[in-house]
Amino acid sequence: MVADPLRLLEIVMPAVGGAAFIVARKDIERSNANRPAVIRGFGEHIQCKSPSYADDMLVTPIGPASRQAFGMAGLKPADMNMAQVYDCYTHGGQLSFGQAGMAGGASQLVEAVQQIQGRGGQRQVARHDLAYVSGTGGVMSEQTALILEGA
Amino acid sequence: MMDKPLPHWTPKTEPFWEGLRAHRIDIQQCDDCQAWVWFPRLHCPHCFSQRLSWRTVSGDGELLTFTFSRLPTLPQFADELPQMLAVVRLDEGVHMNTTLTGLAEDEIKVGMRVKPVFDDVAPGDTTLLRFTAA
Repeated sequence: MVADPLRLLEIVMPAVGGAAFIVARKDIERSNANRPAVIRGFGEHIQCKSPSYADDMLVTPIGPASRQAFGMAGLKPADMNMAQVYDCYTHGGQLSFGQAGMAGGASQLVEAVQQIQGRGGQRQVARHDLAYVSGTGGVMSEQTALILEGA
Repeated sequence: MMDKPLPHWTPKTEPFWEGLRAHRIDIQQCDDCQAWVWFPRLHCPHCFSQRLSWRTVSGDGELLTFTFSRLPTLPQFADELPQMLAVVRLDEGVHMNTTLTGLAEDEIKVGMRVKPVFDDVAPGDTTLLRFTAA
């Protein structure tokens, strides 16, 4: 037990790593050898300094951030082919691959782009046109959402 | 025992730490919308007024959430395990990060009434605000 109710293997493993991606104008990305991922929508919401100060700790900023992103894209969650969720405490999140320091927030984005490009290798999902990506920063009180679509 | 880290005072937070030294809890209240404000700030987070006044409150409240840290959050706290980390909601409505003291683990329940404990960790210099069962 580390901090009730979390045990050691339920806590994301710190890892050393980095991440990089290139954001470009549409006319530039058409010259890319791989399928580009187009940003269809994005959202961000900051609630407070830390969850301690939230009116309700179970109502997190990812809700408003995601609604903003889906609204911008004109799409709904059921339209998505995959969800890349920033989460330090589940196997769908970062428990399965660790958190690469400050680059940890980009792991989901890089994976979404690689999936859209069909470069996911053994992890490749069958349908890979639309991806939802979430991000968490600050002290779990500042969250972002992205909707990406393969061009 | 290693020296434990102590709070760093700033001009903005000094009235709070001065109050604790006198075993008094002073927090800010907005003169314009009357909202209680914690932590210390230059603006009211509700109406953005800059007219905030320091007022004394009882420190009575309820336990909003807690955990027991079985590993020290810093090496200097290794002699305090488990650290009883908590968030308390004062009756004025503000939430405070704090630690619980004087309680067995099985006595601690979310929603329980709590009262302040003034912990003179560096007598005459620094007092910490902790909480225990009311």
